[in-house]
Amino acid sequence: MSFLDELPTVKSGCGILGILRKRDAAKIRAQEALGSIECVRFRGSKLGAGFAAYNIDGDNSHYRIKVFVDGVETLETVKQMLAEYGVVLRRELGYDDSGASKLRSWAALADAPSREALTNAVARVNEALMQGEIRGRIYSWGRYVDVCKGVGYPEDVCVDFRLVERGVEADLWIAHTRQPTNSPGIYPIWSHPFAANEWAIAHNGDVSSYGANMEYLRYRGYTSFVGTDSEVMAYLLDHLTRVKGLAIEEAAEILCNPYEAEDSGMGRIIAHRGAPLDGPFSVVAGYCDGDDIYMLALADRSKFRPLVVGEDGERIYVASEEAEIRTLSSEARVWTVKPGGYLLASLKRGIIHSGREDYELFFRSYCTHQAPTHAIDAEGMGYAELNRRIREALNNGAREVHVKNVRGQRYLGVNIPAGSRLHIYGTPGNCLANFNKGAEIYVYGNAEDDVADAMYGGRVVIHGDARDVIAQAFQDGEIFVRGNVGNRAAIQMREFQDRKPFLIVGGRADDYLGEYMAGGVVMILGLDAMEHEDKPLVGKYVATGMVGGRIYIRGRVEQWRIGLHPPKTDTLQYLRGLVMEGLVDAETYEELSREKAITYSMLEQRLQPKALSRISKLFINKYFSPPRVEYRRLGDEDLALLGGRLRRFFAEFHLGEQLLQRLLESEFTVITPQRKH
Amino acid sequence: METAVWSRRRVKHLQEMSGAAGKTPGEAVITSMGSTGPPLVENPVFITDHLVSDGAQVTRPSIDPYREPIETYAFLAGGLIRLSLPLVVEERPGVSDAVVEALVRASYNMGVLAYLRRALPAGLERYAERVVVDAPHYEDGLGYAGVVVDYDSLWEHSALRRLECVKLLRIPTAVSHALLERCIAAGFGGVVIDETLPASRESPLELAVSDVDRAFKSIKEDGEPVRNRVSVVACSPRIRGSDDVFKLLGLGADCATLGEAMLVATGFREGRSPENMQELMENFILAVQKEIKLLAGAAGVSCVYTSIIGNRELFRAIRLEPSLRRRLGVKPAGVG
Repeated sequence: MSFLDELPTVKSGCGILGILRKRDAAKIRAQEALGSIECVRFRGSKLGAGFAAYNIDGDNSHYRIKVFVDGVETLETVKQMLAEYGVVLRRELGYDDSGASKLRSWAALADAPSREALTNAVARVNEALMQGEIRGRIYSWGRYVDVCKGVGYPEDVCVDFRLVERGVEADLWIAHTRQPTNSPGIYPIWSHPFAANEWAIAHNGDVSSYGANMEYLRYRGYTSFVGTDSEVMAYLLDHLTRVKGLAIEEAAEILCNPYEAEDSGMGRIIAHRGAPLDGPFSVVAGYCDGDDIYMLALADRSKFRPLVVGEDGERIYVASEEAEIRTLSSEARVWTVKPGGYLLASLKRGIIHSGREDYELFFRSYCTHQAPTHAIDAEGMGYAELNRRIREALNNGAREVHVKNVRGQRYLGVNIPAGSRLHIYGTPGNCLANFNKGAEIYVYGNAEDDVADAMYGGRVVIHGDARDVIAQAFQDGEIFVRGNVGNRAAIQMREFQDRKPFLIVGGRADDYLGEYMAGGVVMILGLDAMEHEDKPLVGKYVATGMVGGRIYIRGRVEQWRIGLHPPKTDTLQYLRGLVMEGLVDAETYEELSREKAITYSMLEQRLQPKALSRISKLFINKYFSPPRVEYRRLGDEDLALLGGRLRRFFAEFHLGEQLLQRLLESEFTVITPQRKH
Repeated sequence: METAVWSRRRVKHLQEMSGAAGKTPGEAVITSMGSTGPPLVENPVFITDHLVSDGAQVTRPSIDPYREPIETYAFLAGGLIRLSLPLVVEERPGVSDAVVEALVRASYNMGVLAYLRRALPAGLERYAERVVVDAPHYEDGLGYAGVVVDYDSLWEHSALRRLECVKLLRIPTAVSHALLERCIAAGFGGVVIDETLPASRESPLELAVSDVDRAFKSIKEDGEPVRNRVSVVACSPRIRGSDDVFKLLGLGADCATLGEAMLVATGFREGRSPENMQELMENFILAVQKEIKLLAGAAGVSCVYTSIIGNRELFRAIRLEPSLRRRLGVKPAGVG
């Protein structure tokens, strides 16, 4: 039995996709959306997939009612109820799927006295259809959106609805492949996209706010639910924009649930409590207001799910994995939505909100390497087969293997022998170089999530970016990344005796860099932002729970980004109490109140011992101490540790000696664990 | 002295949180997987004993509050009052001035509210912004955060509308929809559901919290439910700790009182009157906050205010009479 047969079946959650054409570009064909979402087929299962197609031109004068029914009798009930509520069916389109699942999809074009009347009629019909047993459901009723979903893989749904055969094209596609967790997948009513009026959404995640969201909606006219957290998102967006009249940006900010400290508009969160989402989500949504078509993508603030976006001359993309985008575009600029951020783009306006500040500065294409002609061609190959081919080549005596056209194949470089070299051209999938023990792995392109988990020897060199959770529990060897790393890089990195791992990043890192870090060395260089001292190279919560190792970040990282601090409001409140007790003077209080956030080291510098001992309980506890932070140039000890590696990094990426010298003369933020208090 | 409400285990737990016992003041008390608690091992006393948190799992990971932010802030009366955690420290009958002083200072420093049944003692006027007080003791100009008006004197207070602070209406657990509507019309910022009122004898706090939460959602102004500007405070001396608070939040309370529990935690109920009463109280409040963060984190929630309050889906009921369970809107354990 080969090792590949023993690989764990990773339940990575669903795959999502959005493709929006730009104003002057051609419409997007169904087979393009299908090819892209099928690229991450392994993210889903046979239990649900779907598409939403938006078109702004053509005949949009009627509502397109789409309903799942279990038979003729139910369909008659639906028609009758719609008629009672004043909804007039202008043209019956009949069944539009082949009836492969327990319910069949039926469609009609209809008119209604008003949008509100139609929404109400749909709610009443859906209530009736879900009473007792599941008899069916109206699942889409917009003018501009057409949802096609069912039980099966995306390919099955596409065949079922004859999307390719009918030559369906769209200005915007939303697609989903589903890995059900909290609701069964045996009925198509649980498949994504979920729609409400002109919104349609696809979601990967499992939100903990679901019950609060339901309560919010239940008292605002939404009375029928199929019972998934994803469905409520469509209703929330519909309510906030259509009923409350908020801009899409405002609705997105409410759903993303900003931290209190970062949001100037807490009033909005208070007024709409119940609407914000919590827990893991990455969401892609489509919307049409009649004038323009919008694509929205949301990332949760802990960044528990992957979300990448891309743009080329023709289109804008949203995906779970970069490989989906690369299926359609090799030249697209790809970046990630920051934790808790959102992307908004429209057909007419292009990118409206990029999802991240400075993405153009940090997210570039670095790689021009061409694969040699003898490289294994991974085009269309599944990950198991590709891994087998690589292993075969190495077993046959090759020391060096080249693979080209890699798009999302997982587990590459797992369990290849020490001393061998693997060159990957394209976009390797998740779990690259996990458990690597001495092999050298080169990526000419961007890597995805979970690179080098538990790696304990060898090298990984990435001529591009890596995404979330790179170098988790990394314990020996070196990882060089020319571009950026995502959230939770270097968490639980560790060292043991003479084993010491090194992660050097040429770009920037997102939140939780070095969380729980226990050993080894991380460097964040920001080489493309040397002229931009004000551009932060790290996100928030750097080194929280750090107990060992070292993090070097070029430049002066603001203190509030390092560690975890109580909310400033609460610290100020306690300080006011100390002022009243005469332990802190008013001037010190005023000074501290002007800081963006109050850290323990600020208090150490400014408070008398008695006041400090009183307030320190808010910052320090048995399980957590703030890390130690120094701002300084590199000294002899640092250079002894890093000099050789930095030179190798610069040589690897052909970066000049001049830049290296400038770097060595720069000031660094050096973070180490605090000694016990 | 052990009672059904204040078991020996509970008293020890609370005192370790405050530092009156044990060596880790201000910390959440370490427990383990599994439970010897009610309703399956110990005998259940209250409805909260029949409720369990559904917890996070693979697709919705738990969050570690020691290293990642879990927000516990709460707003009352549509944002007029901000709390660092959804907690009000209630003055219990028969305590000394010294205890009241410690309670006021500790509540102030920790960013929660003190609820006094007497006027603020002289010398503590500057703390008024963190104090709500019963109407008979209220005084304009002191800067109280709020005033609590008895429901049966709702119509006697013609001067009510002119009060310059947040008005809260003290109601029993059995209350009519009409009274809640009058409460809204009279401009109240919320209700304090007081389980000690004589009219509360018939109905438990849990049901009242859930019913009032949903009643305020069904009362609308300009089509919008009034709930997000009207607060629900759960008040009873038998709220035993962060577990009860957490469950009451899930049933729809914006915050809950801990009064008796605070006295138990500091050892006062055992006849002790430690000199460092304020410190013990601050530690206790801090430890309650940490426990609430742990509970929220275990449910995969990073913001209590937006995601726990009224989120019945996060809870499951064990051996709770179906009619009560349905009225609370909580599913039985074992249901997805």
